[in-house]
Amino acid sequence: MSAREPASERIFKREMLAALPNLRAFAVSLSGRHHVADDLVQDTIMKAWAKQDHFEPGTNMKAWLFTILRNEFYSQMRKRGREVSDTDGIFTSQLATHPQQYGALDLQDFKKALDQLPSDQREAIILVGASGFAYEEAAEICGCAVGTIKSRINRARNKLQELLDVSGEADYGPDANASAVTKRAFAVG
Amino acid sequence: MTRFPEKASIGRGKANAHAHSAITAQLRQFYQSVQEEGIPEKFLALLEKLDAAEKSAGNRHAMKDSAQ
Repeated sequence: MSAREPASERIFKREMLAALPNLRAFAVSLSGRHHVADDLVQDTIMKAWAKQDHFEPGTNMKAWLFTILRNEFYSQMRKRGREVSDTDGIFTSQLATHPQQYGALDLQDFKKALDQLPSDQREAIILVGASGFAYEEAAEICGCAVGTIKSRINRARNKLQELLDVSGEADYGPDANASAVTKRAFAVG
Repeated sequence: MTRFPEKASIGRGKANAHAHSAITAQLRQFYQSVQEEGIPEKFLALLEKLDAAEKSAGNRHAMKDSAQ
């Protein structure tokens, strides 16, 4: 009989598939470019597949995949040297394919602001704020202390707040555009 | 100097918390919009290919086993 366990291989594949949308959203948010992100996801799938014997069933597949992708991102960045962020045009055109989507314009602004963060702050706020990881898990993925993650997130929030000019009161309106108009009206008055 | 929190700074703290949750809401919305794009077909194809390659390697082992 073979030593292989087809059932656990199926689980591996299924868990990997289930994590892919989240993994890809992380890659897009981190790299700022869809084509770079998709290359990263592809490399991550291949690496994870090759290393699946190292994966312990029952442990956190998502965190494992995110760690691989993150390491891949930084090693590619190092290889390429510091690359100028030329993302705006590309991403804007991608978002513009859904102009009817509510808040699409806000998302473009948000994306631009996110891209301006240092990558260590960006990954921290994404992992905890959007990918669904606890501080401890994010710290493990990034290979740093929990306190470091927390302070990076704080700095990221403050910077985003500054870039997006978000004040505490303005954000509970029914419509972000309407509240922007209101803000202008008050500024004039 | 500020041994006790002033009312104003409590207010500012609240506004800050609101701003933070607004930032988080936008981050989630952005992230969600990418997630909703779904998984590109090429990744599904890649997984199938990896899976098939492994299975055929496994089958060769199995045939060897049964031939013995």
